[in-house]
Amino acid sequence: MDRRRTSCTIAASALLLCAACQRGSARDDAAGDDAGDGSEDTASGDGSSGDPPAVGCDGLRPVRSPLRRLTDVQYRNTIDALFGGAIAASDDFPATSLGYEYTTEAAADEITELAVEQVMIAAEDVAEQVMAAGESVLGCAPSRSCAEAFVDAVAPRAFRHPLGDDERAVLLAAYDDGAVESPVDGIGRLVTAMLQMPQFVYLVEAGERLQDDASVTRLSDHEIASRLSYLLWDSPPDDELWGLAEAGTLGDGETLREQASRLLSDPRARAALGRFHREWLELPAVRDIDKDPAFYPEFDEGLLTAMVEQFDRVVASGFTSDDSTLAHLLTQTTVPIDDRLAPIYGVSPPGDWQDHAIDAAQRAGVLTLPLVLTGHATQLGSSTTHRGKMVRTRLFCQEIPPPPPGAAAQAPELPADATERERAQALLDNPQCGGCHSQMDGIGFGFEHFDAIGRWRDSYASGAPVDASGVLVSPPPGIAEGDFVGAVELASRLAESDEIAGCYARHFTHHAHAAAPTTAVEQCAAEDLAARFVEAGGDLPTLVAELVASDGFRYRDLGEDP
Amino acid sequence: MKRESGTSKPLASSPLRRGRSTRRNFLLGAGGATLALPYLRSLDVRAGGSAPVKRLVVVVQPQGFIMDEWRPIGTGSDFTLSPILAPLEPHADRVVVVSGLDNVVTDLNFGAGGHNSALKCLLTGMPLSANLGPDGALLPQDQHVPGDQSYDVFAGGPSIDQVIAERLAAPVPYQSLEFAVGTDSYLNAQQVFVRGPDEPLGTMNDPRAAFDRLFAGFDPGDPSPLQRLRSARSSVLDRVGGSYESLSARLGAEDRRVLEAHTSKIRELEQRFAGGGDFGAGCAIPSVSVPGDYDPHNSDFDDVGAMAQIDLMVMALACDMTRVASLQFTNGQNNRFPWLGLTIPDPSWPGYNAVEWPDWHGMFHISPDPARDHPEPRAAMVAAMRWYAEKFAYLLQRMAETPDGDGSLLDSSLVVWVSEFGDGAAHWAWDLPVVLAGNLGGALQTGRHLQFPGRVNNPATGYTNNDLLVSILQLFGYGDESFGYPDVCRGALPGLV
Repeated sequence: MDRRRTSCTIAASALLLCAACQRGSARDDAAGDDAGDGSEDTASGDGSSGDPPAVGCDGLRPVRSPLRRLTDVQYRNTIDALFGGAIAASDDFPATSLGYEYTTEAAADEITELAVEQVMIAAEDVAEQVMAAGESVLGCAPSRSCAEAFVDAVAPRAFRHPLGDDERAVLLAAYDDGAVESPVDGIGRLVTAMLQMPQFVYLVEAGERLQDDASVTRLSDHEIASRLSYLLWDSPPDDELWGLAEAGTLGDGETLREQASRLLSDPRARAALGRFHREWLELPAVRDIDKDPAFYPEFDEGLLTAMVEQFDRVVASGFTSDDSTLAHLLTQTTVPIDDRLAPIYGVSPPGDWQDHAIDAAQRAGVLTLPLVLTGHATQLGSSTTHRGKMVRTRLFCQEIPPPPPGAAAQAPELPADATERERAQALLDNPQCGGCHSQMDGIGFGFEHFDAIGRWRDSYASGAPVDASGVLVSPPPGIAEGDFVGAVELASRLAESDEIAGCYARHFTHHAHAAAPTTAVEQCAAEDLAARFVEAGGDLPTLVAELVASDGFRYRDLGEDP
Repeated sequence: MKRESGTSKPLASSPLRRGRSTRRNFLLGAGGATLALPYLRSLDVRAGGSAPVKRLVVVVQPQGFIMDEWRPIGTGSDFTLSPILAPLEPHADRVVVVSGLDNVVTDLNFGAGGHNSALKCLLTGMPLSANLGPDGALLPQDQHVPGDQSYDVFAGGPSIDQVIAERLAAPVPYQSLEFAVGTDSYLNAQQVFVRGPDEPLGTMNDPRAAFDRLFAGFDPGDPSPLQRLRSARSSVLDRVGGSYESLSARLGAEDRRVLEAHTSKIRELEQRFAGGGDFGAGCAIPSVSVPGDYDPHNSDFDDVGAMAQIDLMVMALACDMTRVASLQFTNGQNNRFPWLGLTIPDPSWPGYNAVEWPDWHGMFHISPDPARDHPEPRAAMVAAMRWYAEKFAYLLQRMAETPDGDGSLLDSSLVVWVSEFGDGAAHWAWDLPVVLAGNLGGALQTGRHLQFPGRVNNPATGYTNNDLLVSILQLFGYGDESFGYPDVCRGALPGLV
């Protein structure tokens, strides 16, 4: 009952539609720059205040980023940042759905009456704590003047922009309403109102409409700062970003690149990068991963938490290590291991997290991390279907249709001790199943040395030896078709492929803009970004830098006819 | 083998979620102090001698059953409850078991996933909205939403609970309340309660959050700071709503649509909390508890979660916070039912087969196939299925012992228990298991088993799930002759209404 949608909505059609846009764009004419040198990187990237060129593939390339609510993760981080950890974020804030490709998608935070009520209850929860904490959080004894000072200090950071007079007035009016009862009640109502206002709850990007094209806005520097920090930290801007926004220097592509680099190097990037990559590899609902304790008694909350932390450490360091390429992420043979993970790797407990050179004949890269292997497996065993489908859809950007109704009934009966491989082979041999399953299980066979919690095995429980020979059926162009053996060989084939890099770039763009590209201009921009990523040898920080310096990061298409 | 409840599943300390439960002290006012819940509206409507209150409770449970173990023996008033329904024995004179109905709307959603399509059509009687043309007619099959995208679209009509809630238009704070037991990670695929096309309601899947929403902060002595905040909701919401409106005016059309949707919900809340007054006869702050490591996403906690949610739901009805309440069980994958002493799947079963019986859901797929049938796993499955009946019986018992007006909640309510599938093994929505309970103020004649021919095998004479839904409307006194997609609705079930 795999309820997640499986389609890769940023699939190949975009490539075709946009092929014509890729040549002769403004970029190529602009300064003759190569990707990554940081100069004059977009049609409008000079940060000057003059109007940018007209919208088009060879002009300005704004992107329609839908207005979205803070995700539950972003909400928690925002409350933590606002109150320096003195106030706990509320568990009552509405949960972000894990059923969409990325949790940043607007649809993942559905506006239901229940959700709006939960926003209110969460605001009351925080306000109640502020009322109880009083002076220790406010910095002054509750009073009208204290409320004003609190509003001036905290509200701009809560709203992520300089406080407007009207916003200030609403907050102080809420204070005055409550102050009729007591100053503490006034503070309570002020905080309750602040944390329900759209400027807090939503990532508002009003921008300023262009004079020549009112359907496009240029984001304010504060809005750009928020975009950057929520993209790379899932958190609001820190003091340095805020200072740059106040100084009005974030419209400059070079400054954005520098800031992106700074944010990527900060420990706060780990969880956010980890989340993006987990969602990329179709592991959004880590909390739902479950193993049968009869078969995997060692699988518990501690082990799963360690798997997540290891995964997050690997992808975050993938952006800062000497070799910061996607290829390295897909093939690296040094991974951090802690005491909980040591038994999975069959090594002695290192005490604390330590980088460990793994057996390069067995494992390579992120796809062989225990979290990935564990998440794409059943309760009881490995799953060649799930693992292969993940590679097919998330790394190849290809689609696999869902099984037809009644498909399960066609599954052939197998002996009790049949191995996962034999079970999959039976599907491949069935003409009604084999067409699709060969595209999945053929890849998934390569991971058969890994059991349902990512441990290496040479034989199945029945004693039958593991056979990890797979076959790549109709891979994307540029990837060698045909037989391979094991995850290491598979990883090396994937790592060499520009198609895989391009697919990764499209996923990152989808995640960053909270939607797949739809307009012709967006598709140009997405394909151009993918091309630049490939040109840069698949360097991950370069991809981030190119994205944040692109027009779409600073210009929003409002989706209105001019 | 049997797992200590909740020891091995992440959530509280996982990076995805952090726990804070200082405020969620469930052991409040055991037995319930008498207090004025400050936002409840006056119930003068009832005191004034107008029509008696009618309530609807809907329970939805995933995957269906092994129907041979579910279907009662005998029909009419002379029937014997089945092994699965045996826990309803004490309430046998308060139920109507309805068997044989087909949810044929599911079959109209060509290509859409089984559970997803069947759930979304179950209470709406409508195909997925994306499969309907502008005129409301079904699109040709080749224009249907692909199965893998059907998770994100909803039914093309309101669910029966919402239609009744709307028509009752009761002067209560919550038009309806939706509780859930189990994970909400895939809520988009499981939205069964919808106000209209593509307008899902969402469910409360954590009883702690439900308690916070409905009962937290009330103190019979001095009003707590939280209670004072809650008393001020209407005023704060008014200010907040104004800020949405003024910001919207400065944004583009698409942004404005989002904020306007939010604003309209704020204005609804503002109205809801504008009143104040008395509460229902059996109303008290419920005494509810869950273990400290409770995790709603972990099906090992489903028993305690179900008990807590039922207690909260019954009290919300008793306090007349709402007239329409629902409970959805959402876990249908790895359920192990450890509180029953079961291990599912159990490697010690004779003929145990890890490939055939990978987990609870996988076992459903093969359960009643005689060629593959084995007594031990079948017995375990029946025991687990009986647990749902035990929870339903607990709900009926709590409703029967809770005063409402001159009688009990069960007297004034219609309780409907359905599942999206009939035989879980077939994974299709035919021969649905339906149990109705309660008397709805005398409208429902209980103590019967009604068996109908299904529409699939009896195209001319058979009945559908839509016929059940329109029957529910008629039980509530509405004159509708059809509900949901008209082509598959013949009218009310004979003998039920």
